[in-house]
Amino acid sequence: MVSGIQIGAFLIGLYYIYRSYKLVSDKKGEVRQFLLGSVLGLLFIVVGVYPDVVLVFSRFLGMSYRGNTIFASSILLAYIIILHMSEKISELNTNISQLNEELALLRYHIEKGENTEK
Amino acid sequence: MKICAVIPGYNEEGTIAKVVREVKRYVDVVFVVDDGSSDNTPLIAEENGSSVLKHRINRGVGAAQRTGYRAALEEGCDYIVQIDADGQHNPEYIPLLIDTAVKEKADIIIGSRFLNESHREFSLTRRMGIRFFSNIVSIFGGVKVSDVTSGYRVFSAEGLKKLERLPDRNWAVEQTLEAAVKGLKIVEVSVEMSTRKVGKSQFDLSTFIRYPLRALESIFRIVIYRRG
Repeated sequence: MVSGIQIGAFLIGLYYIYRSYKLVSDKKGEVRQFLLGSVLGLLFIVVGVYPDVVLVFSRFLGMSYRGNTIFASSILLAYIIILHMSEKISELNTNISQLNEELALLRYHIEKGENTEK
Repeated sequence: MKICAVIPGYNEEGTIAKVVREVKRYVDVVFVVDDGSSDNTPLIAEENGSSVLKHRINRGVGAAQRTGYRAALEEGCDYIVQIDADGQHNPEYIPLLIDTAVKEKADIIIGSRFLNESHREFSLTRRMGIRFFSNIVSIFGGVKVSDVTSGYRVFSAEGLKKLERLPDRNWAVEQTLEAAVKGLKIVEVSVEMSTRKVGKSQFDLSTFIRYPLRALESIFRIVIYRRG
């Protein structure tokens, strides 16, 4: 008997695969997002079709319940993604600041040059 | 000896004209760095004879100072005066600050309101905060500083070149501590300061909440990454 959560996992998996496919077809070139999306999609489909895979994984980790394993893995994954995003935001913030600085100096030199020419 | 002034400004149309005119009496070049103002600050600064560098977006006082320092160094200035655009700093002190920098061969001169009675004009919370971070810098940097957050400073070009990139906001603790741990000579001079009379202060409730956290982050950054 197929449960609702299995169908849900299967559909989410398909959605992620579709998103990864769209990234390729639209030639977005975002390799990391493609990999993340396709791996997650495949994982959801496998778990949706063969839920016992989680049980094997739970035993391997030493956890008694499948639910706990999924919960723990989700928190870990979310933590990794948040950390990655936070690093990216900080990097982009520095870049914006540098560009702002360069732009101000360039504009100043251009305007100064124009005034000298006049 | 070429002396330049850097004035970071954000929405300071009420005070910028007077500040630029007075500062110009004591220095060779005045750079106003407009940090994305929505009022007429850059226009007024330009009309009063300063060179204006315009940030497209507001990034904070530290970011404006960075741009100003670069412009001043490219201009070949020997000493760079940093002064606020809000009129809290009296430009008449500039000759005293420069003289002290030259005589003492100092890299940084800080105008301190805690070496006179003018600090009493400021709120108790702010005074306590300044005292606390000044003590932190004194402990970690091994140099006695009484007014670490003062934005009224003079730098020697050589000293300024030794400092790393400033953070966009809450720059004062980081800059002073970095200079101290790198062995730059810091001297304080008594300068009377008044509270802001015109315009909107950058200090609001969120500043008081965020400042301690950012200052702690700065201390860690300096102590861990920028020693020696």
